[in-house]
Amino acid sequence: MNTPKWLEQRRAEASARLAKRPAHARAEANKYTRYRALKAREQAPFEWGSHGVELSSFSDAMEKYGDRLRDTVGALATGAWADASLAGDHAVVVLTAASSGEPIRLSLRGLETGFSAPRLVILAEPGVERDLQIELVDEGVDHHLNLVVEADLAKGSQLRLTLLQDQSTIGFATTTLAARVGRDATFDGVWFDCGAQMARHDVQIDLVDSGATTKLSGLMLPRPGQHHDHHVHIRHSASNTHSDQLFKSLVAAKGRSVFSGCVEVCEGSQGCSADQLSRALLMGDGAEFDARPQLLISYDAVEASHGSSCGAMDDNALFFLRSRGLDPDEARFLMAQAFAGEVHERSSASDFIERSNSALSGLLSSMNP
Amino acid sequence: MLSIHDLHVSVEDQPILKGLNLEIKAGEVHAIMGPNGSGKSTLCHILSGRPGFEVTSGSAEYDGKDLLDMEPEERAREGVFLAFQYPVEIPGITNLYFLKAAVNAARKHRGEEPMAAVPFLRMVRERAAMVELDESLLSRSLNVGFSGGEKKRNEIFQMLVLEPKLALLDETDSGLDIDALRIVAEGVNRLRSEGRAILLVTHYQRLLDYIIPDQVHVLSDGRIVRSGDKSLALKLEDQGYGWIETEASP
Repeated sequence: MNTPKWLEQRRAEASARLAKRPAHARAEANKYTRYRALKAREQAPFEWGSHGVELSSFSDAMEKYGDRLRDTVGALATGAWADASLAGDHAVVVLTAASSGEPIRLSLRGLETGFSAPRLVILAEPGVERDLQIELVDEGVDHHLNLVVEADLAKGSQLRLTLLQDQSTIGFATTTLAARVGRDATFDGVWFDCGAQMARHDVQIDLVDSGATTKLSGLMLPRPGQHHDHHVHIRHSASNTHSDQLFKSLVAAKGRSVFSGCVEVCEGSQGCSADQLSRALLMGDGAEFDARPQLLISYDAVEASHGSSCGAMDDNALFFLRSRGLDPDEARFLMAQAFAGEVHERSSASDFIERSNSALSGLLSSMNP
Repeated sequence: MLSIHDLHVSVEDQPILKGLNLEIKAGEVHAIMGPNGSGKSTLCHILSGRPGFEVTSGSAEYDGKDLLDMEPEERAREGVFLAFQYPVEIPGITNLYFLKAAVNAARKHRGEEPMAAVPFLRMVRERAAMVELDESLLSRSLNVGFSGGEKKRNEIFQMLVLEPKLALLDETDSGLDIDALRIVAEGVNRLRSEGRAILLVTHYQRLLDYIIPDQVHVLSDGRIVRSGDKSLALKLEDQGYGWIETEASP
């Protein structure tokens, strides 16, 4: 099948934008992102592993879902990292009522030094409910995985994503997740960042019809020299839409995490609610957390809140646990687990939670060699 | 059981305890009363090992050991328990989870095997019932969303689970209504035994209607200036601290 004209045109536009401004260019959106270590790389192979779903090729999907693909591919995800992968192939997942069932597991593995740009399109049919679990890993090589996911959620559908980034400490991850959430549909996403030298996630959610809801959470665990970064933009473009964000960071000495979250409530979006909270625990000297909470409200009849906090562990609580007989290390681990638990409990991917807990233990033990 | 001799303690170079002497024998209950700022809570903190307090001189011996030389967790495992005046909230850590860790830390210290889940659950349910603590609170995050009375009852519940040899109760009665006060006091009385000692810090005589102390001490300006039996507390309730402070001033 020939590439459709609309896709050719979008690729040309993306190419032109990239030529004008590369992904790692100095820009307001990149203010806190540590792109220095990110050098240009040659294309390198990666491996897709999938379980619980059959990935369709773009050409096969075009025959049946041409209109929805045209409204989705290259139309939802914006930004330079999304542009950087538009020229590549797309894997398509169509979630139909018949395909409902066990969680979908996708594993993306960088195999050699270089750059890869897997791209996934998800079309959820009305009323479908599904869990999607994506893991990003590599073979211990300097591989930059640039994943783009575009999801179109039809009326009443529910997609629950957990993304685990567990690359080696010389790897890089950039991901862009864009979802259009339709009437009474729900998109929930949980991100666990355990590895990579640098990981940045751009999340773009558009709540386009009444009753659309999203709940987004993230847990970042940067160790010394690591950088974990979340940029979230939620757009309430219809009435009675709801969003909730909870992003937490537990930052080791000389680690860095970033949360930039923007909630945009468009004119006429009556009865919306939006909550946003980011919290960071700084665990040692040189740990850094940059927060940029933003609310852009263009309508009066909405409820919106945002909050951000950053600090060390509560000495009073640590003393309390020690006064009950717990070792200082055990007390700190319990406190850290409790801090992370609020994000863990939002995911149903138990093995991802285990790996996140293991990364948490590693982070704490690295502070007490 | 506890022998404090000429204890001087400072906080940020500010002397708080200025030569405190106190002897508590096994099986006894002592009450410490005194005006605000006299050093009552400091005494509890220093005995439980809270960081931020500096012992400038003096000693505190517990069961023949130098208490001040022990880390807070060692003191706890040796049987010292502090019921906090302001119980801390820790989101994400449930009562049951942390108590199991605490019980097993003490058992390990004594060379015993960890307690199995079933007997542990049976034991905590029994102890929760003793202070009329709703069982649903056991699996909730520690003190998060608890009322003031529930927090204080939770402290006494933890004490009953951990079965300390020396219990330090720092204004456990503050903020309690009459019913809650009675329940908390009954919980404390259940712990009274020949092998245990209790040190109560309180502002009000009313707690001592329920927990009858063997001795009452008045702490003023960092020292114990008067000791007596329960009648001393009644006199303080009636006349305040002015007469003692006048007598104590040089």
